[in-house]
Amino acid sequence: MATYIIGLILLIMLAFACRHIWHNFSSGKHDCCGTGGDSCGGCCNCKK
Amino acid sequence: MAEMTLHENMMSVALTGNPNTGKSTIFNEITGARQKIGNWPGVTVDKKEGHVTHEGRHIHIIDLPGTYSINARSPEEKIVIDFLMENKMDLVVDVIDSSNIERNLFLTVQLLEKGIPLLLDLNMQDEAVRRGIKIDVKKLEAALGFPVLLTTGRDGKSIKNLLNVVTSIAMDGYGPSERLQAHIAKVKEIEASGLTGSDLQEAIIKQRYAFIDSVLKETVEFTRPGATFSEKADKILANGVLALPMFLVILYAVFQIVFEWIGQPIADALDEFIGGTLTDTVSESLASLEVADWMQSLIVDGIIGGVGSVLTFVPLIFMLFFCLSFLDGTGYMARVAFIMDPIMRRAGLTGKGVLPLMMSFGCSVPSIMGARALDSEKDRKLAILAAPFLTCGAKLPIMALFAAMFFPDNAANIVFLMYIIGVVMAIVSTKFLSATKYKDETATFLLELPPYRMPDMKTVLLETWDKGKGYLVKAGTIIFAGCVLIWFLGAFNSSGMVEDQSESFLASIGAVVGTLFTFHGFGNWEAGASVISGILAKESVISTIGVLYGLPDISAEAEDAVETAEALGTTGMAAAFTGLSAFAFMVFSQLYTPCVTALGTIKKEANSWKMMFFAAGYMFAVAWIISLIVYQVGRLLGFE
Repeated sequence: MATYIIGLILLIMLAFACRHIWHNFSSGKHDCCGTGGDSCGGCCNCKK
Repeated sequence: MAEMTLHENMMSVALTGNPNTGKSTIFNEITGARQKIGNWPGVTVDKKEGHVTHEGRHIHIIDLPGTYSINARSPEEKIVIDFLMENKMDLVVDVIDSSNIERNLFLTVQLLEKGIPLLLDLNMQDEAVRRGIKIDVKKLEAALGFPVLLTTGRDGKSIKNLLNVVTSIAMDGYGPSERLQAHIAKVKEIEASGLTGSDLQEAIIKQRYAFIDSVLKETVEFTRPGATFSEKADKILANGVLALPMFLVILYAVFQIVFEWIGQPIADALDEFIGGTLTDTVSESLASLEVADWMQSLIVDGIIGGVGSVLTFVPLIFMLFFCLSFLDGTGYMARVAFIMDPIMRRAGLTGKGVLPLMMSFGCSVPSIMGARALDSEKDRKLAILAAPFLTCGAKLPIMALFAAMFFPDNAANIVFLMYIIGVVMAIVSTKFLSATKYKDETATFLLELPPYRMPDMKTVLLETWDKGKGYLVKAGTIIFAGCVLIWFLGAFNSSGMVEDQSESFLASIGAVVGTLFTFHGFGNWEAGASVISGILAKESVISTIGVLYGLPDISAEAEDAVETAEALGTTGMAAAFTGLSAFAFMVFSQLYTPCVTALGTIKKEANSWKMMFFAAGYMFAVAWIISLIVYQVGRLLGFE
């Protein structure tokens, strides 16, 4: 049972990770660019 | 009705001005955003937007890139002109460096000539006062016909005052003074005089400066003409003989801080926690819950082993970003451009190219984007192709790990050497490309040296956190997903789960890639698999190695060498690499194809798939050749 629960949690985490990666890829945003406020930092061209 | 009220309460404000006048600081103070601040020109290469509510009014603020004029010579100048001409703003705030008012007013006058009403924000008052510059605000307002305000960007009172003025001012009550109208009429006369090309430009520039001089004579008083602190400091730091050695000393000090004094001891403690306490606790908990063996392997070997090996380096990354942000804030980075100009010029770039390239020590993505600030197409392309050779924060863990494992007595020096190799290759490659692929003339180098300032610690810490946070987010997402993928490929083959990783999918793929490195000393499948994963993200090289070898605690401290050697004995990594092949692997990792995000940015910036594929292939080839030379020459010299 524990295996299934942990597996489910990992799957959810993986889905979020993939969603984040896809969002970055499709918007041209990079994590290093910073995440403050409405700005993407001075280095990136954030398409919201 | 509700819509009407909302509309009435909203206003749009643009911040414009010369580079390095503190626009981004003001923007950040107002919006609470963490836009990158650098005490050198060209930090903001694209417009940034933010929002704030003040006195019941909702303000939409746009921070435009700094520009010296609006002649559309560079992309950021074009952004400013296009934006101001195409968008109707409620207010345009012209942020002016009070300590350099004459040159700053050139852009102001140009904007006023275009009929754009301005609120003149004479910023950096603290700097002007230090320099003994006294500005008569009322007289300046009368001379131009537009409102003038004094501010000091980092001062909360100034910002509040600026916001009060922004929300209450009625620009309808202002318009060009008779004097300004006379100047505009003269400019129109010159334009109609029949002059063309550079003669026309020269005549107009002369007229503008004559107008500015006449205004400043009546409005500005210089009371302390002696040498400033910056001028005195530059006698040492930008001195023709001492500048380069001083730069190297400062760079070396940064490395000592990061790898020896502060960063590494914290990294070691974290490593001990992740590799010891955390791994043991999780293993015991999973065993007691009777979780399936493969799931235990996925969590302990795959996720903790992979993500953990990347997280261990977070303190080093934070320390490095802190040091770079601090140096940025002092104004020293602009001197670095000045110091490096003769060297960069020999390579086919100008010293101005150093500024975006310096960002590459954090991440090559902003560096590639920062190349926009360079003056010619050739310089931009050369800088884009040079940036990925430098050691970004993501390559740092690879260097730190290999140096600690194979050169425990000289870890910091070996990492420093890798940084130097990156810099040298960036210069050599630029020279090669400027002599072959991009042969145009090198543009003139014009860069303003800003005064030295004590950096605002809040800004430095926020910037450090922001960049470091990005690294943490990456560890939790792309590295996490990569670790699961690598674990899966390493644990399965077409017949199901395997006991021995050398029979896995990953071994098959890695073995194919590994054959490329047979003569480099690391032709094993594990290295091949790491190289592939490194194209996804450079940190993945380490997380892959972590998963494949199940690395235990590794320390870079010389006194821990025996412990490190013992730890190495428990992994297959000791047998897979010798000192020389590890060094060749480090050189390859330093120089080879940038990560997919950097490649995507190259495509976007150069607007060319061809350039992106060229960058990927060219860097792989350079890395392959240099790494081969290092290994083979090393062998000839008797190294192992």
